Amino acid sequence: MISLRTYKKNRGAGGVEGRISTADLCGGNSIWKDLYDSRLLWMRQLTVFRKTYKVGLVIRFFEPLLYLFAIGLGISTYVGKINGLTYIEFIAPGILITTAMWAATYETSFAIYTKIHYQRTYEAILATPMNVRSIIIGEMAWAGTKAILNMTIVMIPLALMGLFHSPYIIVAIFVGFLVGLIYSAFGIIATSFIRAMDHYGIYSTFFIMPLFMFSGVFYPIENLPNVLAFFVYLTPLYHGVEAARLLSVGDLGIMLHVVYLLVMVVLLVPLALRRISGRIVVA
Amino acid sequence: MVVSAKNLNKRYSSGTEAIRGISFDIKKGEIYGFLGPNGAGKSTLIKMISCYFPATSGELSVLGLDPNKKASKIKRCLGIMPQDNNLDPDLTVFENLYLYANYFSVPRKKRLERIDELLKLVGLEHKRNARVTQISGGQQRRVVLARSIINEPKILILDEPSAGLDPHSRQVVWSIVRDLNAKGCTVILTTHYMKEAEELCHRIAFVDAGKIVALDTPEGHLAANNATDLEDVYLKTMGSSLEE
Repeated sequence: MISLRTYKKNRGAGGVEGRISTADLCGGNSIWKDLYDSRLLWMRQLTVFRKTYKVGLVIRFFEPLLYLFAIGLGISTYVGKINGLTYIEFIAPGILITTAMWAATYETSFAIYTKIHYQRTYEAILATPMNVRSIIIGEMAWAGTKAILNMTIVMIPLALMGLFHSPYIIVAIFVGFLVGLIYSAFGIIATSFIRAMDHYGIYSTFFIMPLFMFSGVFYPIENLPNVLAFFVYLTPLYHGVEAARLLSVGDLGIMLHVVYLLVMVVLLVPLALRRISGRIVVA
Repeated sequence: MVVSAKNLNKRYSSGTEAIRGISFDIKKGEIYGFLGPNGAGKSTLIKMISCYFPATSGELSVLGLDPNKKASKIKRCLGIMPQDNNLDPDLTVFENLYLYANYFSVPRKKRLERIDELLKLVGLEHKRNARVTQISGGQQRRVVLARSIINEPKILILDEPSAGLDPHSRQVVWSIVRDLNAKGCTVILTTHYMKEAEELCHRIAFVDAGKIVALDTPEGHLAANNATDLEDVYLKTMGSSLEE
């Protein structure tokens, strides 16, 4: 086994020794070329989606509304207003953002694992001018697209019910897109570690669900002990939820939250690429 | 030469040395076969030629270009038929071919004509709108072959092309490969099926433990080993032990 201590590159001799990076697998393509080519993977995803969307849409539409009504209506009779909002109005923006989170999580966990290990879809695509970077950027772009689509579908009935007090809530779609990109990176990183499908239970139980329950979706995080609240401030879903909540009442002061989300995207996307490249191309 | 390799080595990140100092040249328009036992390094060679991953050291040139620097340009001229039928199971035969042509940026109008032409070539016009999961394994293999030549490649790479095929489908595949070669396409194939190597290849390289142990035309191999068929040559060259 080669240890990390023997990590070295030998490009001069025409080869690559030691650990192979994502760039080594891109055959000289610039990031811009791969960004451009990623649209082809996105188009493949769209083609598959057009055949399978009916079932997926119903689930994606039904699930967040289930949370909203079961918890929102059920608890609202016991809870007074929070920051001037009824309980169901308080949780609606958070439910909207978590729609983006779930969409991206699904697209980049089971779906990618299946394509790598069962369908061998990427192996087929790598026999074309595409490379791992254009493939994974395309997958992330698709996850972001699904995040936007699902949020829009859920936003319409919530808006018609009068749960948002400002048209600025439409900006939450951009916030949800960023949350979708971040969770697509998380999903890809998790997939790079997972060795069997049922391991996703660990990812869901110990990562996704705690973030979902402790990100201010269902209650203000000021209610939490200070130590826990501090950690929650560091999580991306919290910033997405807070931004959406501010927008729902017409407050555009979301810059800090958006900058945080953008920084997370910039940090996580290359990490996700690096991790998954080695699983897609065993070199 | 369309492919030129000098002192090629490949060590996987796991430490396995798959290729050890291989050198070979593949001429334009020839059908070149790699034969060898499982784990000999044939698939690794194919993957390096098809720009799947870089070599550890040595020089490799495909169509005069460096795979480390011009992979996209090289792959645009390659057609690859993998060992597995890795078609998109959610899509129809037509959609699989259409999307694949998209990756090669085949112009839309030409794409439709090409798909019709290929479906006729592999005898699957009647399965155009069938989902891939609804056709047999042999039919899927023919779709994979059609897919591999959708971009009219200069080099066609076939990894065990006859695997899982009935005799009729095998003959169809061989006929297509010969026709393509007659039109100037260089073909590189790996196979365990001696008859396939004898029928198709102009030259055959026997690969064992990451090295080329013998290289000649099929007739040359037979004469050099005083054998009547390639299987005898294979067993003499590789040994008859099951050890790998």
